[in-house]
Amino acid sequence: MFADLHKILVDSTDKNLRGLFVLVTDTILADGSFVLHHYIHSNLRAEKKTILISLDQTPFHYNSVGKKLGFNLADSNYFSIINGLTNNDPVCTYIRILIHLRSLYVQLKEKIDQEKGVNIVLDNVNILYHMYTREETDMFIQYCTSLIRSQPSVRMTIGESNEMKESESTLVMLMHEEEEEETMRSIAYSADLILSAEQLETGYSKEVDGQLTVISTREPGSQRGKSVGGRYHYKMNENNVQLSSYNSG
Amino acid sequence: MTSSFVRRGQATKNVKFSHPVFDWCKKDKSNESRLISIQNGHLRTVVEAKILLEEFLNGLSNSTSILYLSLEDSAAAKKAAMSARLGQKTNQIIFLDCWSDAYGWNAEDQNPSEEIWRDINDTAGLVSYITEWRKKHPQDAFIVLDHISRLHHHSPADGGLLPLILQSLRQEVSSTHACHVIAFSHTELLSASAASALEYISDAIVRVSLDTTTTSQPLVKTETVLRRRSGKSQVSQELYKRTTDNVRRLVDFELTKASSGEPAKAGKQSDPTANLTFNLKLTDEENKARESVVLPYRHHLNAKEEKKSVIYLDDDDDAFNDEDDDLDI
Repeated sequence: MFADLHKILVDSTDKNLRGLFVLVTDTILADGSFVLHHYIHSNLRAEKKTILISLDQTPFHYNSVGKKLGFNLADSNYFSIINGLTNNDPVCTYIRILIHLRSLYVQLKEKIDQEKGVNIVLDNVNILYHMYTREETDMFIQYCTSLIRSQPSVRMTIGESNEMKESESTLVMLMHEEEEEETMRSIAYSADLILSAEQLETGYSKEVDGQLTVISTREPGSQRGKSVGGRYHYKMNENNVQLSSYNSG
Repeated sequence: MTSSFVRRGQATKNVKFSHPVFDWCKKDKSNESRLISIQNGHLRTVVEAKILLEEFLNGLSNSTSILYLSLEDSAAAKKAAMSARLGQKTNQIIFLDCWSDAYGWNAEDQNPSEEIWRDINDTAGLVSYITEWRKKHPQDAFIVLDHISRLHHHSPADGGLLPLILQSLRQEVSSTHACHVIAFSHTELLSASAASALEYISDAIVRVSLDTTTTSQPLVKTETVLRRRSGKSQVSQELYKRTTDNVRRLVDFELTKASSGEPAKAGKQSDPTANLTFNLKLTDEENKARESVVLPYRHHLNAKEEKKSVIYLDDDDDAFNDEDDDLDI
């Protein structure tokens, strides 16, 4: 969806296509939710089923962002949302009455069982850490990762080009850097790809909104043999995000 | 040790990989189970540490039995990922999936697989499984725990499972063959006390990190501590580089130079005076002339030996014996 971000992430899949766990971290001064929107809309464009577990924002918010990016999420057959904020939707209330996160996992599993190339987006996991114990939340994340890694890959058009390629299932999870360092590290080591949005080290700038650090913990599978990683400045516009590399490390 | 593997669609290529732990395992005739701890120190070196672990397995002989407890990925995914580097050797490994259904949430699934361990908190059961496996594989064997940090996360006692496994293996009577345990860990995920406890019970510690000081391309550095029964420890550092093939998944580590006690230097030493705009090199004649110059501070070497003494001339003004006038005050 965002061309610059797509270029950076294009090599993130490996040959095993075992399912990709993407962890997005952000801070109060650097919002990383644009990465979630990128994954939602790029996968919808590729007609890949996307399930959004919304614990932080209302469906209206995602619809508004979607319209700005040229998508009507409400009419999409490939998009479904699990809303943890409201009691109106019977499907969406179980977050509040949940005794154990296992129920949420079972629901997810039923939704995507035997689907090819599923995209699960969790916004954001901090809410779960507040509602449940760390052990329960870690279990849930582990099972979600297991779920997407067990899904078969799908052959689809990726990005702006018409090139067909195998696409694996993805779990994209936003986490604010408010949790304990130990918890953050534990999740980071479970992830295949970590995208950290931070404010500029040099302070506020009009031209740059923040910096995005990309770390891959899996071996790249691209023919070019390039590792996914590096540090980028990003600037958020009305319906686009511009990225520029400033340090390869 | 020379490890060989088959590249997909390419001829077999030999890649030299050696490590002090290999020699140490070979020389050890006690047939006692040893604990080898491979420790990754940073999130950015996860891939390199994993490749190192695979190189270890690749270097084992074909008659060695290997039990691989996968604690961070499904057995199927792990097998697929390893097969690229290990080739046919992957079939030699028995995988136990301790991750996919670690808490039994999928226990009601229609096709339960025997390879899946469904209760990660059942430490005693896991030890029994390993003991039974060992009984069925009495020859030289290795048990790999990938990664132990995850077990520690679930077990309240620091390193609770490892001592139990080692204890049970050491109880087994095996006069001719040893069963070693390789514990892979991310040290950042262990508490300080757990990391310390792990090192104390380990017989060999291999710490993996990146070395950016030697060449422009980061090398993989391992710091190895071999702890002998006598109480002595041998510390060494090894440097490895990754080959630059196009297909990165099949690229292996290549030993550049290993030394005992000193960091190795990679490749040929570069000449820092090679690309200067002025001349810093001397001809043979200039070198001879330079060497023949006697530097000022070396003149005393040519001086003749003579008897030296200190001459003191008494001065009338010297007041050694004068009384202090102020004493009367």
